Amino acid sequence: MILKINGLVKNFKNESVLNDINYEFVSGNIYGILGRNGSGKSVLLKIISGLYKQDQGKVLFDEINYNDSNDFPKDVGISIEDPSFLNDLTGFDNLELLASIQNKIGKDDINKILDIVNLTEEKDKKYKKYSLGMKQKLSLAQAFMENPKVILLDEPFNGIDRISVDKIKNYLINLKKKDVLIIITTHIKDDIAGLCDVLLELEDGKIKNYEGSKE
Amino acid sequence: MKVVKNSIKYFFKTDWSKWIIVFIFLISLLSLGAYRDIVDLFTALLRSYSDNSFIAFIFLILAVNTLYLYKTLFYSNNYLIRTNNRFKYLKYTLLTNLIISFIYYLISFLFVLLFALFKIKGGIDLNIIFNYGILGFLYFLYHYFKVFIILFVILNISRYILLTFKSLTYVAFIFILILFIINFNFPISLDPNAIYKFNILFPYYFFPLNFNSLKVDATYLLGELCILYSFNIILKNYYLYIKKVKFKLLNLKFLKLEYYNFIKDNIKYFILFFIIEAFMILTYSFLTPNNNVMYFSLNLIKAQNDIFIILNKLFSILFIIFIIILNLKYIYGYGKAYLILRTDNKKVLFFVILSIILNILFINLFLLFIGIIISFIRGLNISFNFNTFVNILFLEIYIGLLINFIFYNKYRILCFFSLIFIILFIISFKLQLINILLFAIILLLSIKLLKIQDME
Repeated sequence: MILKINGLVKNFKNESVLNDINYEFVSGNIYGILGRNGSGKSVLLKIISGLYKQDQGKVLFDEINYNDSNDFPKDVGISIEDPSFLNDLTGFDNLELLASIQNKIGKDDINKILDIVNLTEEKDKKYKKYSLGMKQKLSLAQAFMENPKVILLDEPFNGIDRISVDKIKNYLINLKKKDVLIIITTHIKDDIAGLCDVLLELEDGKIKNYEGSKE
Repeated sequence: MKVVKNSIKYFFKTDWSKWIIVFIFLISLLSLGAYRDIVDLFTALLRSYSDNSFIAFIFLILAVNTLYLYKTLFYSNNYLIRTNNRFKYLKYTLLTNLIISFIYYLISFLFVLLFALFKIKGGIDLNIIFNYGILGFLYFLYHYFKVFIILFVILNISRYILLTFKSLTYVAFIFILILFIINFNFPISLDPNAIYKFNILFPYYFFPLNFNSLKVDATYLLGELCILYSFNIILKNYYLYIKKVKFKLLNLKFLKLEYYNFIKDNIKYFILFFIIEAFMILTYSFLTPNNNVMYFSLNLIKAQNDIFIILNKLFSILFIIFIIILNLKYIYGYGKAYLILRTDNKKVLFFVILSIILNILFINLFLLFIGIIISFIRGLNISFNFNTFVNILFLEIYIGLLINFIFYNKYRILCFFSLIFIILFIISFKLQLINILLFAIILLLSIKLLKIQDME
C-alpha cells in the first residue's frame, strides 16, 4: 500500500492550515508527525481518512482517489479526537455496535483487542464511568479491531498508563511487520520516540523531515 | 441489516430511550381532552391523531430523539467511516431512525388506545364501540399512517438541516415547525372543495390535512409527499456537496447566450403570435364591450360557456406547445451535439427546463401586457385576478416540462399518465388541485434528474 499526498491545501476561512503538502507513505512503516497544537495534524488525518474535503490536491491510496467521491478509503482504522461513544452502553457493547457496521469480526476478536489495550477488566463498565485513559484505550481498540491496512492515530497515548502504552506500542510494531501502514500524530516527541521509523514535522502548513529523524 | 438491528437494540438499552417512553405516556394523556362527546372508538382515536397539540408534541419528541441519535449514536467519525460511503451512512441512519421513530409512534398508539378504551368504555356496549365496523378501522389506519409518514418525511428534512448546519439551526427549524403546527387550524373534516381555496405557495404540505373525500385526501397526500421528498433530495445533495462531492457550478453566462440564440432564431413565430393575439383581443373588446378583456386574455376556468375565449386560450396553449417543441428541437436536434461537446447532458436539461419556463412566462406576460394596453385604449375596466394568472401559468409550465421529460426519455410513463391526468382535470376544471399535484410531481422529477451527485 502506498499512500500518496499531492499538493494538499486546506484553508479555514482565510487561515491557511495545510499548504501544499506532498508526501509518500509506504506500508510496513510507522510514521510519526510532530507539531504544536493547532498546526493541522488532526486536519491532515481527517483529510486522509476522507472525513474532511481538501481545497486542493489529492490523496491517493494505491493510486485510487477517494476524496472527490462519497466513498471513504477502505480498511482504514482511525482514532481522531472526540471518539464519541454511547454513554449508557458498556465498552464492549460500544465496540460490538461499531463492529456490526462492517460485520467482519465477532465477539472473540473484540475481546482480543480489549486485552491488547488492557481494557478487559473494564469492558462491562458503562462508558460514562470510564476515566480519560480508559476512553482513549477504547478509541484505540475500535481503530485496531477490524485489522485495517492503514491506521491513523491522533495523540494516541493521551492519559494512558505506562504499562498499557508499552503493550500498545508492541502491538503497533507487530502490525508494522504485517505490512500495515501506521501514521501517528502528536505534539510530544517522547510519546513516539523509538516507535516510529520516520519522524516528520508539520509546521506552517508544510510537512518536512524532523531533525534527528532515524531516516 | 445487522447494523440497523444492532443500533436499535443498543439504543433501547440506553436510559434516554426509557425517558422518551415516559414522555410519550404523558403526551398521550393530552389526547384525553379530545374525547369529549365521542361515543365510538375510532372517532376517538382519529380525534387524537388530528389534534394539533398532540401531533405537535409527538413530532417534538421524535425531533428531540433524532437530535439525540445524531449527536450520539450516529455522531462518531468511527461510525461514519465504517459505512465506507456517505450514501450508506445516510441510508443506515435513516432506517434506524425510521424504525425507532415508528416504534415510539406505535407506543403512542398503545397509550392512546388504552386511554380511549378507559374513557369510552363506561356504559357503552362493545358493539357500539366498533359501530363503524371495518371501514372506520381502515380509515383510521390510513390516517394513522398518513400522519406518521408526513411527520417522518419532515423529520428527515430536519436531519439534513442538522447534518449540514449547526444544531441551533435545527432547533430553530423544529421550533418554527412546532409553532406552525400548534397555531395551524387543522380542519377535521375538510370539504373537498376547500382545496381550491388553498394557495399553491402556502406550505400546506407541511401538515397532514384531513379531507372528507378519501380520493381528494389521497391525491393531496401524494402531492405533499412529492414536495417534501423534493426538499429531501435538495438538502441531501447540499449536505453531500458541503461534505464531499465537488461539482462545477452551472455557467449562467452560457445559458443566457443559448437562450438568446434560441429567441433570435425563432423571433418570427413570436411576432406572428403576438400580432394574432393582439388582433383577437381587440376584436373581442369590440364584440363584447361589457366584458373585461383581461378575462379574455387570461381566464380559462370559468369560460366554459364562451367559445370565443376557449378558442383563444386553445390557440395560446397550442402556440406554447409549438414553442416548446421548437425549443426541444433546438436542444435535442441539431443543437444537442454541439451543446454536449461544450457542456454535459445535465446542463442541457437544465437549460431546457429554464428555457421552457422563460418562454411560457414571456408569452403570458405579453398576453397580460396587451390586455392592459387594449383595456386602457378602449377605456374598459381592468380587473386582474392574480391567482388565476398564476394557476394558468403553472399549468402551462407543467405541460411544457412533462412534454420535455417525454422527449428526454425519462419517466416517460409517469409523464404520459400525468398528461392524461391534466386533460381529465382540465375537463373537470379542477385546476387548483391539479396544480398542487403537478407542481409536486414536476418538482420531484426535475430535482431527481438534476441531482448534484450526477454532476460530478
